[in-house]
Amino acid sequence: MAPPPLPFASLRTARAAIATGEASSAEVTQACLGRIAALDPDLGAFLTVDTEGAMSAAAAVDAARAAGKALGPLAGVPLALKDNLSTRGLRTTCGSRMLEAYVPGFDATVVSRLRRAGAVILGKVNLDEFAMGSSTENSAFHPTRNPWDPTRSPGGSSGGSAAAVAARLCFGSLGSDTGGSIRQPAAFCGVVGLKPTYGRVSRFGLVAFASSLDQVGPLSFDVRDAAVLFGAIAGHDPADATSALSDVPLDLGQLPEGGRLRGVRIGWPREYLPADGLEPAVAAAVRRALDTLGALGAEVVPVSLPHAEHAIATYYVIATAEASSNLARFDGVRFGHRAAEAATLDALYSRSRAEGFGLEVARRILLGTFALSAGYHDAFYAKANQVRALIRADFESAFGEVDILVTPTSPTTAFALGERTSDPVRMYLADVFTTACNLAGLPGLSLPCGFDDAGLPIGLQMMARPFAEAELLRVAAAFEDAAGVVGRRPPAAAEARP
Amino acid sequence: MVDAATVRHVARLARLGVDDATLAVIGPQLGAIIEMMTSLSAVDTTGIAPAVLSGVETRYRAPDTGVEWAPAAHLENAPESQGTAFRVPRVV
Repeated sequence: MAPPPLPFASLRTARAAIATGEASSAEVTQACLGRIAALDPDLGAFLTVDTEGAMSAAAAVDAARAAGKALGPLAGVPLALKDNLSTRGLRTTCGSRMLEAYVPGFDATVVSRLRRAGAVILGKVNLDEFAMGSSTENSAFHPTRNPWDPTRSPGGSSGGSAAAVAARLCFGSLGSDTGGSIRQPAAFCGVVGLKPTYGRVSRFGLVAFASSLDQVGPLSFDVRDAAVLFGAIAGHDPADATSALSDVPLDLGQLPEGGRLRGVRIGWPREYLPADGLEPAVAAAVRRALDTLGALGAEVVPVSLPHAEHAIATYYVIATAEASSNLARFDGVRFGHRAAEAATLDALYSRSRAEGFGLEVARRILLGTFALSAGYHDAFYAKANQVRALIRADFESAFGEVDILVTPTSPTTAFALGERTSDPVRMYLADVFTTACNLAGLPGLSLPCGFDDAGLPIGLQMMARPFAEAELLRVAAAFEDAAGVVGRRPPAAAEARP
Repeated sequence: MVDAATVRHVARLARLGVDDATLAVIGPQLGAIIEMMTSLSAVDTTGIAPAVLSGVETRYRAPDTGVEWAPAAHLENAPESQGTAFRVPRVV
């Protein structure tokens, strides 16, 4: 079955056309559903497609427009949600057998904000189980394939989100990022991914992995679409005790075309260029990106992050410790998988969890429990939080000198499915450029900056001071306009050009 | 550093059943990961206060979810229930 073309090149143009009546939301939504039906059996981005709910939401937007009612900033635009975001009445699996049949009774705050903005929810997309992984191969249901090369991983854990956006199955997606889970799949799939400042976007209704690190954010075709989605979900939420009170900048989608960067200071960490395992094509693309930023008027200078080399070890101690605590709630009693015929409560707990969790989740629960256990707590968990303070201080010092930090998003382009599944240390080390951003609570963004010899996209990471998403997006948009790599599409989406 | 007995002990603490086949796969992997984590011991953290949270200023308080739950709603996802209660194996 040939997929229908996606009728618009961006979320913004789709929304504008729906608002003026040039197109109906029902037509646009039907096009997305048609593309999902044609392409997703091979891609594996979706876990649940909500055809009825999507068409109903589209009809409501079309009726509101016909009645002359005011439309929200995402009115009629079809989106996909990572399947660790709670959706009322629509199953939320977290990519786990544990929650295979779990249907939340409420919407996550980000989901209710998208609905209020008029978005059409197409369904739920794949992830590494409980967002633990960097390849989307840890999903209990099936792996997701990279639209640029189906033998390769789309990255993870928001691999379903990134693949769905790259293949133009939707106009944008929400993912979650604990150590790079939005930015790395965005890099592997040639799309834009934004991890907001910790506290900027509500975590209420996001199934928790590591509560001091998790953030929800958008994946999109381009920077300006990311800004529109970010604007729709950001802002204080009384339902999240860690939600920040800072105001959200308005009109982020109105970033100027062809912006210049005079007066902007951009730093590149000496510790990252070069770095162990950094592919030459990635290093070359990042150096070209720094030249482009300089040509736009920015001052580009080296900076130092002396404790950057310890970020991965710090991250994996803290993230697994928090995960072991958060995942204690899955006990086979109130929701989720329950083992059959357990004779005692203890047997019910341990067998339900053994049957419900996959290998990577089990590995992380054991690591986290070990790091918190008597005799090891001070050497691992307490020590990691001290190193976290040093990493954060490094960033504070760097941001005393520069406005934006630029690094590769990942040391490599998309790796082959199956290549790293038996070697978790190797898989973890690939998070070298992304985890520090979460440890420091900073906003970070990945956008395409080039391609390797195999035609696979290369991601550029930009980080900014806390709550400086507007500055981050402005610099990213200026780079995107100048670099000219964002319009290139993977084979699966090539025919979608309007 | 991490032998099978330690992994079994940690698994008991985590209430996570681990069979011998899984242990054979996971044990050496845990050892390699913990070795990587042990590199933190080389960092001088004398006098450094731990940063448990992200460092971003928030106003910590009891969350107000605005979600009201009827008892029946709590039980909708229960693997096994009885009346208005979750059913579990007999404890006493």
